Order: sequence, then C-alpha cells, then structure tokens
Amino acid sequence: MENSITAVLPESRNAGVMTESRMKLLIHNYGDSLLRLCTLYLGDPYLAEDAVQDTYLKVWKSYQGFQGRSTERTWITRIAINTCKNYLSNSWRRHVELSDIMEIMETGRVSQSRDAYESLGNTMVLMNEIMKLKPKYRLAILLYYYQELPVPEIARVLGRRESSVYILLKRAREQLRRNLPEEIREVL
Amino acid sequence: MEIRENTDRLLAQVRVSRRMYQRIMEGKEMRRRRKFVLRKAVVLAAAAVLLMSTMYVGAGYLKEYTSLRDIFVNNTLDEPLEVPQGQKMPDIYENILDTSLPMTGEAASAGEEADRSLAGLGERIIDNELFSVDILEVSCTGRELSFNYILTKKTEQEIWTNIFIARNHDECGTASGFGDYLRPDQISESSGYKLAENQVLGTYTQLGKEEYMSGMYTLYVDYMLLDRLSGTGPEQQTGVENSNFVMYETDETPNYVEGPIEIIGSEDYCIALEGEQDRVEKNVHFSAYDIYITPLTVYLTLDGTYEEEMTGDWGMASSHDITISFTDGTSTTAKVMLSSMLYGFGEISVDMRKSFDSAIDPDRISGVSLDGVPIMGRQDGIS
Repeated sequence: MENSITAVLPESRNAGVMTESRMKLLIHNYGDSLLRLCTLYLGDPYLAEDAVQDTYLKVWKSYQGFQGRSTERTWITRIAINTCKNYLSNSWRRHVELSDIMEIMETGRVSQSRDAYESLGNTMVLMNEIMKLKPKYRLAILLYYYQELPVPEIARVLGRRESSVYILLKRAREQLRRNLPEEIREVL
Repeated sequence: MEIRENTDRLLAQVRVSRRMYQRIMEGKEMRRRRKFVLRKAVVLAAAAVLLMSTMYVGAGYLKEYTSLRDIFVNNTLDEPLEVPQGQKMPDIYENILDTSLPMTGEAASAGEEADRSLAGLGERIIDNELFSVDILEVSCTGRELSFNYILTKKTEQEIWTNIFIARNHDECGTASGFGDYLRPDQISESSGYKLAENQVLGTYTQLGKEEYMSGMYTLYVDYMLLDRLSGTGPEQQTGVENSNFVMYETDETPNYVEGPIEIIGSEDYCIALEGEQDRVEKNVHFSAYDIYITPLTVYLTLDGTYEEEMTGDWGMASSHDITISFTDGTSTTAKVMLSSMLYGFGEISVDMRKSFDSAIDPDRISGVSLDGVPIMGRQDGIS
C-alpha cells in the first residue's frame, strides 16, 4: 500500500479506542515503511511480513495502552523492532541473506528510468554495506537514515540513552566509511 | 543522495499486499475469539509401557535400561559423578560396537575398545572444522524429547554452544528446554565412560507444545567463538579453577549449523492437564495452566496478563507445588521452579519444571493438584 494519503491520525492523542478504520489507517500510513525497515533489519522479506503482521496484532491489542508519550510512528516502530528482535533471537533466522535483498533491490532499480537507474546504484552499494553491519549498528543506521528518526526518537525506539545512540551511529558510520567509496562516504 | 527516497524506490515491491492486509485484519479477529475459548481439562493417553526405555537413533536399538540422562542427576561441578550400576556400559553400546563400527586395521582388543571415546558410539550429526556432535541416544515420549550427545571440540578457541532439535525451523513448537554437560574430569573412571580432553558429554531435554511424531527433524547447534581477553579485566577471586577474572569478546549473534536427525516417537506415556484458573501473583493475573507429567519431570506453564512493568527476574523467586497422588495411596510433591518466561505487551507465559529424584509411573497417577487445588482425580491426603 503506497502512502498516497496524508496522515489522518493525530500524532499525539488521548487514550482512544481502536477501530477497524483506525487500524486500516495505521496500516496505510506506516505499513510499507515498517515492512521495508523489517526487511532490511531481518534480511528476510518473508520473515519481515510475519513481523509486520505480528506488529499490527500487538498494536491492535495494546492501542488502548498507548498514552501518547511518543509519536504514534515511534510507538509502532518500537513494537516492530522488538518483534524483529524476538525473531532474531532464534538462531536460524539470524542469517542475513544479502543476495535475496539485493535481488529485490535490483528489480526495483531496473523498473526506474535510466537516469534514476544510475543514481540508485550508489544507494544499492550503501545498502549492501549496511546489511553487513552487526544488527545493532544496522538498526541504528536504518532508523536514522531510512526512517529519518531524530536521535531522541531512536533512543525511545531502542530503549537506550541518547548518548548510546550517538555512539552506535558513530561506530556504524566508521565501519561503513571503511568499506564505501569516497563519493558515497560523504552522505553519511 | 536521498537515502530514504531511493531506498523506497529500490524496495518498491516490498509493500503491504492485499493478502497481507487481509491476514492482519483476520488475525486480529482470530486473536479476539481465541481469548475466550473455554479450555477443558484433558487427560491424554497413558497406556504405553516404555518406562525408561531408550531408542538409539538410526540404529533401531531398543533396550530397557536406565537412560544416560541419569548420569546428570545430582551433578555437581566439584566432584566426578558416580554413575549408577545400571548405567555402566549398557548392552546397547556393546551392540553398537559390535555391529556399527568396523575397526580399521587390526581388530581392536577389549582394552582398546574400553579406551575408545564415546564419540564413536553414536551417530555423527554435525561435523565441521570447529566441532562435531555425535548423538548417543534419543528418547521421546509424547511431548518430551531427551537426547545425549558428545561434543568434540576441534579448535583451541573457546566455544559456546546451544543444542536443540526442531522440526522445519519451528522453534515455536518448543515450550521449554534444559540441559547440562560433563567434562572428562567429571566422570568417574568406574563409570566405564571415557571422554577425550576435547570432549564433553551433554544432555538436553525439551518439551514440545505438541507430541513429537516420528520422522525427520533437525538438530541445531548455535555456537559462538569466544576470544579470551587476557589482562584486560580486573583480577578477582572467583573460586573456580582460574582465579583471574576473564573477559570474553563475543560476536553478538551466534552462528548455527544443522543436521538431520530421525526421531522415533513412542506412544504417549505422559499425562497432560490444561485448564483455566484465576490466580493473581503480584501484578500478574494467570488465567490458564498447562501441566505435563513425564516419568522424570513435571512441567508447568502458566499463561496470563500483567499490569505495569515486567522484568526478566519476575519469576526467579516464584515456585508452585504440584502434588501427584498414586493409585497405591502414596503421593509426591514437586516444587516447580522457573525454567523460562516470555512476556511483552501485557501478556506473560511462565515455564516451570522439576525433575523427580526417581522415575515415577504416570500410569499409576490417580490425582494431581496445583498448589493444593485439585485439578485431576481423587486427592488422597491433600487438604
């Protein structure tokens, strides 16, 4: 589901009741983004689908307990990340199949215009390196650069102090810079 | 470079499909319905007669003798184990020696056979440059699956391992598991077992959420290589063999290897009880229980909901008494303790267990109570 409709849900709200229409909006507004985040974090698009489904089931169940202390997007992202972490704790799912993800990306790339095709090459190289990071670094980078969450929000998602998020990002960038060509290195 | 925008273009086909959307909405409905299903207490069959029998995987041996697992009863780190008389070189191993392991070169003398490490007696499931795993025996009754193995290390590096069995990566099918291992110096010489320096004898018992059916499963070994960082940590007296405080640098995500293993499920010889309850412990309300009694162990799973915060040590101090009455009028009480717990989003599931000092016969059970509350049959002597 593409995000063609602007967000209808208030970012901060009083305790409310989950309805089907609200659920649909939550899926509509955040579903694709969460699915892509989970895919990149888990390295498995099929497992990511399960994770996102689980996430929304948890959202449905616990929506009444959401008190608006963080944005709705941060709250849902945190649920998704915790779900993914549970999946990653199962050893046979810990292996990132880079080739699967890169194949999907290449398919997306060739469907673009010629100019876009060229420009997407650098992003593929970057993503390829991001996928090789340890999960905690990969996650911090994805939340910062892909989800575009500010550090205080990342800290809430990860349940860490802001200072430790900065350290995670710093170390992740250092590792990425070692392996990236100069022109891509500059975007970090 | 617009990372987010470009990534979305690259992952354009990764999107919530109509099918997935429907599954989310349908899943929500299913979950709501399931919560109010009345769970009736059931007693599964307790008719099989394979008390303490053990099957050797892949060889079809079936002997009545005390499981190797008993070696681990009363295991302490301080002294070698006294292996029960009935456990000393059971016939099954002699049979395997005779028929399954052709010797190379000259026929081995009896003495040489005695010195042979246990690893050659089992079925090698895993073999790589770091370690090998030989399964000695597997016993499976109903939902309980136990196996013993020899782990042979092939590297000087420290290795952390976790070994278990699942079917088709279905980790959700396992409710809980526990295990232990013995180093060579922890087995007394009189036991008849002999390990090489680079071997450990391990046992693992796991409880499935459903009965294990006969068929092919997968043995998984999670492992991590640990790098000893000498001289980086503060020196402390720890009371163990090396008094230096040792730090390890580990990769945070274990690798794993897997191998096929055949499980021959025996007829259910256990008792399963499940039902509803209404119990409050601190900030937790338990609404359902699941008790599983095998000849060696009683398992208790409690499901419920919690309010406010939950932490991993919640269940550490918790225990429950499961009293089992037998047809001859005797009874035994097992105090089950925390095995594992899962919690999140207001839901909690606590797994507890207690192994019996000696095997019981589930077929003779006439009544079971949980913390004094009868849940099955007649409760002789239970107030």
